[in-house]
Amino acid sequence: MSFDNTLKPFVPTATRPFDERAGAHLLRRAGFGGSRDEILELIKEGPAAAAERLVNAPPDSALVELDETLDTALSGNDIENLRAWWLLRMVRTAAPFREKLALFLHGHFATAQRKVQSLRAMHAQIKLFLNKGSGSFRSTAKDVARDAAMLIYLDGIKSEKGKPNENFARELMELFILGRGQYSELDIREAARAFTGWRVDGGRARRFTPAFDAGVKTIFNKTGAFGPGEVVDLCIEHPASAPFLAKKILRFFVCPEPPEEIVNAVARELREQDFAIGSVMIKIFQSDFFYSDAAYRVNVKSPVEFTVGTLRILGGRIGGHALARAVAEMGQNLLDPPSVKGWDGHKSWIHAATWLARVQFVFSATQQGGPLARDFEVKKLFDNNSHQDGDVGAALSLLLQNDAPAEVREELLNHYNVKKERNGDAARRDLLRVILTMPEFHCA
Amino acid sequence: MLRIIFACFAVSFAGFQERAVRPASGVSNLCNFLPADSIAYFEVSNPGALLEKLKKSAVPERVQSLPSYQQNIKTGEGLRFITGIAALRAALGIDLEPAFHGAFGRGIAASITKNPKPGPPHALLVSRAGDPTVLLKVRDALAEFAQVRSFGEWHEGPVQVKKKNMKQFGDVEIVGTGEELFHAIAGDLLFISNHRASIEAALDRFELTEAPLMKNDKFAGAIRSFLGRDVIAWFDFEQFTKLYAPNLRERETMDEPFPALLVGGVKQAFLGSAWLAGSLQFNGSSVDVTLDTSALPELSKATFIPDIVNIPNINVRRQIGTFTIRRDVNAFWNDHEGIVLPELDAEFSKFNTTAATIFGVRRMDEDVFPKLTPVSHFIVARQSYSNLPKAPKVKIPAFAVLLQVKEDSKKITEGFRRAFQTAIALSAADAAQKGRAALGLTEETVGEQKIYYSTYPDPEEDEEVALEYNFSPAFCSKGNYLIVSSTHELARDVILQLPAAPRTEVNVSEPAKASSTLDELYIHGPEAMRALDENSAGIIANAMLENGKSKAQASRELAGIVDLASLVRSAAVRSVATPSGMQFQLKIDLEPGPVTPAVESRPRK
Amino acid sequence: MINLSRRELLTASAGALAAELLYNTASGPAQWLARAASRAAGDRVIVILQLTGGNDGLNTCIPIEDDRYYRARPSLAIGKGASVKLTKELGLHPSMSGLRDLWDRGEMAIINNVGYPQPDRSHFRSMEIWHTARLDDIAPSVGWVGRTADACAHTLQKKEGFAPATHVGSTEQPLSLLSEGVIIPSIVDIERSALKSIDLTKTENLLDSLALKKRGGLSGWLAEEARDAYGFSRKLRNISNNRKKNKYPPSALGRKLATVSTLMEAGLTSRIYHIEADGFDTHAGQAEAHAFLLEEVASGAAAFFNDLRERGSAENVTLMVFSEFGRRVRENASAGTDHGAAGPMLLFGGGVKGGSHGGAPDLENLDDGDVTMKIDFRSVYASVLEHWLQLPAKEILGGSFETLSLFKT
Repeated sequence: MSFDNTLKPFVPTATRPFDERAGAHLLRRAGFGGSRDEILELIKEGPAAAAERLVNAPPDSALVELDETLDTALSGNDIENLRAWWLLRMVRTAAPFREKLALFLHGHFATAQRKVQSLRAMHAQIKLFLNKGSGSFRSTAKDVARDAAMLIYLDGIKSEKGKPNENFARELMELFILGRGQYSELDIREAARAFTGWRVDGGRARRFTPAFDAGVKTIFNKTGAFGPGEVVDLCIEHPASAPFLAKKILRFFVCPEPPEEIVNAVARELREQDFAIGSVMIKIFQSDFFYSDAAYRVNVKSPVEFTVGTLRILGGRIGGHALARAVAEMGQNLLDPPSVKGWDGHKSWIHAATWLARVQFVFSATQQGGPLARDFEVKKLFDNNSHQDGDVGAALSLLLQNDAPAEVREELLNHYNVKKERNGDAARRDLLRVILTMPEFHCA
Repeated sequence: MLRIIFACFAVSFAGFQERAVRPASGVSNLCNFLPADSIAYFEVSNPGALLEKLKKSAVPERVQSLPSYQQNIKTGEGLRFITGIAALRAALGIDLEPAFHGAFGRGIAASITKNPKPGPPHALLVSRAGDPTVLLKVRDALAEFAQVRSFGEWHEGPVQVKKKNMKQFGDVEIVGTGEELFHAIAGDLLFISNHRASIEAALDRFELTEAPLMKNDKFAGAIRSFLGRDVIAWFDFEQFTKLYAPNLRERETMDEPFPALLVGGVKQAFLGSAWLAGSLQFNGSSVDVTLDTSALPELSKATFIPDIVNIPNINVRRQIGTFTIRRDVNAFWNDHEGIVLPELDAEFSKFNTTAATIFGVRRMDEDVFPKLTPVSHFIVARQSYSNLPKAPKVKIPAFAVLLQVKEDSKKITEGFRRAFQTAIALSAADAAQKGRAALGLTEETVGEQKIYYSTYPDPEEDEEVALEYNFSPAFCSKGNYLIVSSTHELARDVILQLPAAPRTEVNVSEPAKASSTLDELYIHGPEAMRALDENSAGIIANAMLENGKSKAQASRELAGIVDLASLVRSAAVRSVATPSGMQFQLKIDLEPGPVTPAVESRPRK
Repeated sequence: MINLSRRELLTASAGALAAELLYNTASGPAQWLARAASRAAGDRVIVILQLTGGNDGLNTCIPIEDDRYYRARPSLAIGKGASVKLTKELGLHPSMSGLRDLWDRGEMAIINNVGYPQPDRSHFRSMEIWHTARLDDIAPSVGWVGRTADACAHTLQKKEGFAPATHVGSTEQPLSLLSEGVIIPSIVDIERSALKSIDLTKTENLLDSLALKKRGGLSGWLAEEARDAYGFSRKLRNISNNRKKNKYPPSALGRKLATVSTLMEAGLTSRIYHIEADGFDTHAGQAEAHAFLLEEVASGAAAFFNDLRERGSAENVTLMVFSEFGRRVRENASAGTDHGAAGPMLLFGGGVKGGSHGGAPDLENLDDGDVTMKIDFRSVYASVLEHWLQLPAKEILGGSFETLSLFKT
């Protein structure tokens, strides 16, 4: 059977080398893309070591200053500061997988400040995803069940013995672990009893034992005096959990419609590793399928991926608030997902208005002295990437690893390289704008 | 930015010799070269003398002794700037100061006119050289050396003065440097513009015996009294609004209709003026700025009240500043339709509704405002937070409003107290609904007065003290005075300083006198600086998150600002009604030493 | 009531919904068939105007012949002669005289006594009910407009690149716009969407030309979307450059309606637009404030339809006005009114069956001093969905509600 082979590791060959395209692909999916130097470093390591290093990268200590800063800002009540903090982390970090995984989990356990109304609680939840995301999904789900922001968002704080609120239990099964059709209404009602007895004070969750229903519950035909952790365990042990999660991970990190055998292979991997997300992600990023055409530039970049990826390449001083607003204008208001289902992603990101917002972003980011990437050095981008096709060749290689149709390349050459001489900054900015607004750049 | 300011001080004053000041040439006459339809005008009639005055004052020395001064000029940008200047000096072959005097020493004037096409407005600068040969030398050195900036891009390397960009104009050459920067030298005059035809027109005026701009009555009338001061500026508000208000209106969005409202609002509510004319005079230890406006609209006269002052001298601990308004609130309220734009009408009525809800009255303008005397006094002070286990991270200064009730309307005091309690109760109900800490009402007696105040429940020992703890709203009254304060502490401090039985002699029917002071703003430099300093963590955090600055960069900048602010002992702004219009006077006191009491105005009767 | 899981109907595949349509077509009356066949249905648009704060319905649509009204409001009642008389028993607030023309044309419908059972006087909760069209206390994750947009995306041949619903206002959207699938954009600033603030002179042609190059797969799809967007933006720029100024009143509401009109003219194919006007919570000093607010609504609506009529599209657009609740019948001691229950809804447009529906406000049968609900707001929603947008109301609202005859066809 081919099942054993579906997650077989990628072995580069002369026809399928681990080259700049492949390296950039890995960096886009495991992170947000980046500079040519970062890509070259990955190529040197080879696919196996590169995936391992990206996923296992220790927290970037250079972000400590930003984290400390945020603590002061959390005393205020400006949500833009929290958004800016996270986006700045994504742009600056040397360990981008941590942020990317947290972004996945934020969409998975979608929680919105709109209802939570506490910067501290929202911040604590994101920190949870950042610090523990690549550990066991089982324990992450348990942490989420007693997370202050989640308790507020899905009415855990209103849930008491005798009057359990079913919202969290329902979403836990429907959206977080199992998917629809895998449980009965009775399972939900019983599970809801186990999540009773919580309060939130000053942004922190606290057990409130008198309101906890310690009685015997029957869930998935198993009976016991289950507490919240045990209910999460029951869900994780349910046969539907691994395929459900596998599919969601693959859709976010690999391709919009993953083939069934790949889903099953990842599901089996999840079971074998007891839902250790990091280890499974390494297997995925090392796999032959991940480097196949079926996964190459097949996802629409989310607003966060697109903007952070752009700014990681441009460099410069990033305006965090302006970035947060730009991302919201493109339809991804970070920390305020539209519903508990998170963002649908892929093609749903693109409408006339959201595309124009992307164009707006590109123009502001590349503008001289603009608010998004202040003082980025155009010259530096081109000086480090000299190319036989002049500026056009350098820019296409830097931003797109030359993934542009031949006709496009030709037209750009006609337009910008007429005299085959180096262009001034203004023309180079224009060139960057044109490439950053090309459809290819918006394919992850 | 700061580093550049400091670096300027470094290069301007460090190695300079004392030199004889050239005699001031009086009026520069440079305005003769500027177009009659200028919208804005700016002139330094004797830059040489101004520089000398600045050099002789204590300011350079004080700047150079600031801790952040050394820090800034010895790092990065500052150092680069200084090296750059040194290189320029080398290129010039003469010292910077004689170069400055020689090239621009006898006057600089500039004006802005509308660009009939889309794009930036036309700007034209004219300067008069102390020594024409030096001017040529400076121009050539700049062209050789500097990265001359035209609109949009930096030109790398030496600026090419290309033959095709030259145009012979009589015996004067108009030179294009870069896409949109032109200049010409004619005798001792230098013309710079972003518009070639503007220079041509200016050269034409050479032949004229009469100055076109002085024929502009609005300009001539406005500027006359300021001639001879260090810096003069003039702004044709009417023209500006006519030309640019439509653009501003286009730029406004549904949620931010402010650009147009701002222009319309400022124009109508405060000035109603066709033009603004200003002057700046540097006196060694202080800076005086005067801003004249043209006649007041009919309506505003109604809202101004005579020169009655009956404000006790309040100088509480940690006082940052005071703001006194002597205007009839009710007249303003009733006339607001003529003052603000129609868009704001609705806001007024919404506010009226909310305020009336809290006061439990039918209409603010019938039931509340007419019972108050036309004097309101605002006090802002830092807080001690002595009532809390520790201070909140974000420290918001306390502020209080001091109002006076007319002799015959004492009942309104009771109305204010009820309104205060209603507002607190409403906010508590709202907080409870949202599951947040709610304000609780209590009272205390100070002397014979009761202070009604509200506090949040005591914060937990181990918890961070939240932002809300900056507020413990309070209300109290003494005699005819009403005090509404954001904190209990400030309310108590203020009431202790109030005289027991204040006089209120208000005669609203008395006409306004010439030169009545209407509004006064007074800021106490050191306390303002401390308020900034105690919030430094938050300000730095904001700079880092909003603008992506590094902590070192943000801290250095803030330290620089605080340092520079420390040079200011106090700043005072006054608005004065004169027979010909409103005048705004700003005085920045740079004198080192102890500070005079914060409130200057005292009962004059 | 049918207790559908709240996502069940939304995640229903296009196939299921098509089956539903087929079912309706097969068994429904010929009239339905005719309507379904009409191409125009796909061009029909609803603009929803939310009056935030609880509009005082009794002083908006006044029961001029009811003495109880005058007795309950000694200081706030609009004098018998002062109102804009519409029918024998109904008059409009005098500051809404701008609507006279629309009424006379038969393009304005008033539906009185609209609300929901067991009224809640909290702004928040009541608005939540209107936004979700659900009375149960489940944490709301989708709004009714969002669900409609989702349904549009499923059932209609959506023109690529355009959202089925658009919010004209800030990026913080009202609850009703929360959707499951589609992203509903907020047009904060038409100038930005028109790309007017950036200099395109050097690159616009190139952007267009590059988007036209042949591509396959995902980038091909994106290139098409991009081309649509550039075309839309160019149209928007032309329209907003050539638009006559002062066509709309200078209020915030006027600007929003002007934006909606510009977007429609530029070819944005959204079928639903949502806008909000604030300040209707008139607890005190109501007379003056309320007059201002109603004047903004009336002059805005009149200008909007004058504009649409000039462009020949007044027949395709309906403007629906709602508020989270009406106000109490009796005025309070501060010359204002407090939170009440049922109130009027207004509909405008060439397709609307003009006139008064459901008679004058009923002051006979009060519920704890409030106007009692006679028409469930979800019936109005259902009528708009079924008869105007021709979408399956039952699916979208999660239950069956009697439809009213509010539209001409």
